[in-house]
Amino acid sequence: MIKVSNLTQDFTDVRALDNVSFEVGEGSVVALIGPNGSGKTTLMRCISTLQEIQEGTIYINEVDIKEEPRRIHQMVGYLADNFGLYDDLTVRECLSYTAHSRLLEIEDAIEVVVDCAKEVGVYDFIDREVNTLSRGMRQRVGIAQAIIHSPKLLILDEPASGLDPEARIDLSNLILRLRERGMTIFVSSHILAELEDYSTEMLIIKKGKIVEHTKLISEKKDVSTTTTLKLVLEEAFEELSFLLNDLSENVKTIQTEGLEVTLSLDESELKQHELLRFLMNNNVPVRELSSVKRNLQEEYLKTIQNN
Amino acid sequence: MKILNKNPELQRNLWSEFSMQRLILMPSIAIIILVLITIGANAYDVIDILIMVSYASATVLLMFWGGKVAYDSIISEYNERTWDWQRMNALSSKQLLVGKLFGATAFNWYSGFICLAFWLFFTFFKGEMLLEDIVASFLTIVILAIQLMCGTMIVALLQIRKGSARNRFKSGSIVFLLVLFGFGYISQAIAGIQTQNAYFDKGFSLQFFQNAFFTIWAVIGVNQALRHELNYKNSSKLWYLFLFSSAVFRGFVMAEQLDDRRNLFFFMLFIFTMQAIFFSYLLLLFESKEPLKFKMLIQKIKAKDWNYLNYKAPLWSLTFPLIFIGIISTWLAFDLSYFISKYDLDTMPLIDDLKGSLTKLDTLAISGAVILFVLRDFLLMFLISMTSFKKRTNGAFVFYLFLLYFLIPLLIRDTDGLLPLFIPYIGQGAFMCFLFPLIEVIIVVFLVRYQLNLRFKR
Repeated sequence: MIKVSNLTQDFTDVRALDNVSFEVGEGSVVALIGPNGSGKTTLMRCISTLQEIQEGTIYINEVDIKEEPRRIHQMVGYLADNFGLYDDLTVRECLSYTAHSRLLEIEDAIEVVVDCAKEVGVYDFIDREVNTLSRGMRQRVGIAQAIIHSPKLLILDEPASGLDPEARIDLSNLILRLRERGMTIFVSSHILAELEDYSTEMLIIKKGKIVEHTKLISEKKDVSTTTTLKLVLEEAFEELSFLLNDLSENVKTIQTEGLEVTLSLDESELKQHELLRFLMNNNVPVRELSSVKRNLQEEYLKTIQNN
Repeated sequence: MKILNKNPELQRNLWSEFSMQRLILMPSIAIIILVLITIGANAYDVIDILIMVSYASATVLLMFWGGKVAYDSIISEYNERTWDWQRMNALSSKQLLVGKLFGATAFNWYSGFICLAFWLFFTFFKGEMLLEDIVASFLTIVILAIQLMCGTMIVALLQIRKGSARNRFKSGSIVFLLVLFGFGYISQAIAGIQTQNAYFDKGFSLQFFQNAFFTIWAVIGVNQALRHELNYKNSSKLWYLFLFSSAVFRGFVMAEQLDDRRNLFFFMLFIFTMQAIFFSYLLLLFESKEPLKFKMLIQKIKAKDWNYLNYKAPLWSLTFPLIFIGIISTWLAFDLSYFISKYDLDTMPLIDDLKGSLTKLDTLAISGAVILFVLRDFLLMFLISMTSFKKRTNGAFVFYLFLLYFLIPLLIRDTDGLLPLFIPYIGQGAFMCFLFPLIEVIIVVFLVRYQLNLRFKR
């Protein structure tokens, strides 16, 4: 879906992006994380064609954004951190304007506007002026404007900043719904706990360089992956490592701390329930076996500190 | 809804600009003012005052306020962060242009036309003006309003192009420019009234066609600037066509006004060179002077990247070479004149007059000195942008120009020997005229290279 190669952007006193390269598949939700001034917004603006590319290439759906920026505009929806709304228009007018200016061929945008307003939850306020809405509602109007033309790629720059907890939960749910629809989404945020709820990939950027690109959730469920498991024992069981070695090469002990053992399991060869049955049959005193979800915050801090 | 399909930008602006309250309020205020004038003025000249007030009101509403509103229509989009939406939507540059030119300023057009309607009514009522003059005066105000609105929109778009995404602009600078333009316009109108009892040249004069000519180019200019914002590729051909056609047209106007058609070619050449200098300096003030972009430009020139130079290079860099072409062409014209005069053939009279006082070497030295001074100024501008004055580059640059071209030469006007340091001056001979600016250029080149190396070590 997105292929960025050797992207370098310089500003007068700083190199904002330094030889950035990565690829993102269709339907992914990428969490773009990094400290302030690390180049997140510059990267997002480059992908949206809002920033002229100095060096390197960006392809979206195999379209070179340098060569055909106007085609890219139709594929991309972009929401800046301050939403950028016309305050003196009503929500309906805002969305009608965006619909007509985005989808020139449509004759009547009424249906599209209503559907979109319902989708983001602003239908009840559709005839109110934007300047009378709360920040959370304004943000929803912003997202509605960004998705009204059903873009293949949605780019959200700090969408959750300044929102109350309820609005953040609504945002997470909205992004999950868009993800289910197959939209590829690029989100930058400082609120890592929320990114964790809907992101499938994490891209950590520091001083203009990509320092980590990790998959958090498998994009396609039928593709095999290695799962990290936490095994908690009722009491010490010294033969465990020998048993596991005998069982399969696909199970590896990563770490043992007292009665807690961290394992990696290649589920293409061995399923979790088969592993559990094997342990029970061999009288291993299992108290708990669960998969370990990668913690975005820990991963991020670890990566940033290592770099 | 039909207008929404045809031009959503125009519709959005109409939504924002018009309310029932505003629609009713404007003609009401206009009628009250005119009634008050009628009550307060002498019965003898009341019609004249009403004609003048309604025309002046239309001028202020359409040209000056309209110019500011047109500027704000772009700048407020940028400040309110809605500009990104505009850049990414599917509207064409022409739709945006019409939407902003007639939509964002819709209230000005509405109120301005109300005043013009009153002006027409009173003028016909008085019945002294010819129909041709009425039509010309009416069209002049419309044409000048479009020209001024487009001019301020171009300034706004150039500012946006120069600024970073986090910048915010205020309308102070454009108000200042409009006030300056206003003084010029009012003094022209007063002069017109005193000499011909008319606000402009009467009828469809040369001035009228000159206004129309530059209005067409102003509209094209906004369209090109919007195309740039919408990521379309803009070839430099149109910019060159503007400069060339402007030189030809204004050269023709100058020859007509001076009633001297024999010097037509020289006038065109002179205007071509002068406007190349004027636009280069002006654009340098308005366009980005980031050392990075300057460095990139040098790299692209070295790499002979014609594609970049044609489509992406800043306008000042496209205009700058024309100064050389203009000066060299002028010098060649002199040279040709010398050659022709050997055979007692008829040369351009203006050159005939000048060559009596200047030798061939003098003209060569002056031409070279002008080129060197321009080069020095441009490099000086980039030097300032890399030093501690960088936040006030434009102000510092204008101050240096004032100092170098006006104040110091004024103070040392009796010390003839130093003048070639500051202006192209032949009084100390051709050698000094050329040598002094050459030394200055060498020093500034050295300083610019030093600063560039310091900045881009990586």
